[in-house]
Amino acid sequence: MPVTAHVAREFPAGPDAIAAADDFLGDFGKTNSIPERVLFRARVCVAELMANALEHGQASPDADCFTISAEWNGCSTLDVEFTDTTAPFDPTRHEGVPDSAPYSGSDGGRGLRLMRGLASGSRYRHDGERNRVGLRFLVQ
Amino acid sequence: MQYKIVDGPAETAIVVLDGKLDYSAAGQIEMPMSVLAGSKKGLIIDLSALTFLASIGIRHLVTAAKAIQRKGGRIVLLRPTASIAEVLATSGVTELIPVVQSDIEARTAIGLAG
Repeated sequence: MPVTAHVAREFPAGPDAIAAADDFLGDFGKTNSIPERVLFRARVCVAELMANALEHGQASPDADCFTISAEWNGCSTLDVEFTDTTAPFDPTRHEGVPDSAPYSGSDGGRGLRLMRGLASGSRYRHDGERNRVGLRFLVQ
Repeated sequence: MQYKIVDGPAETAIVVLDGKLDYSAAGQIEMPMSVLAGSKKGLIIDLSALTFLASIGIRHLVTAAKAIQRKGGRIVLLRPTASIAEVLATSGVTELIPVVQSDIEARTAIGLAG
């Protein structure tokens, strides 16, 4: 019977958090034998969310933090929640350039397009203190 | 991340990217790619040893591709892993830069075959 595994960690909201979070997810995946392809999608999405919060949310290590929680159901589904304390912003919404538009290289929001394309499902809410982005990745 | 540039014939070069091209590493390739885009007519970007690719890295590849293509040159991405290939396709960059799986295809794509 599949065993559910869960981890969570907080990171100071600085550039170093991206690599630290990637290592964190990588270790979780290795420990729980999560399929490489599924884990890779999650790692890319979390990196893009963090980069977006740093670049556009102006996250500061002194004032803000990120959290990541991940849950693997043991066979088919990886759920990841990313939170940050920057201003309310919904990265799951399609704004600006449509996701179907050709890559121009200069337009913004392409990291979030990547996130929306790689995740099987996404949801967003602001709980009054934090942006909370939930992403689901399915073994296909 | 590490990278290696190997000059080829007829104003071409191969760029080998090795490791994680993430938020912190992307700055390492921005200037070299810009210089190559300005000085070469054909570029092969060997992705076979690349283990991670973030959108900021893709942006640098696209900027170089546009610069080369504006002057009639060619650029090609060689042998990405399945996961990297999925990121490239999902980002839409494969509409701008061809992806190939063999050295011969890569050389042909930049006009060196024959």
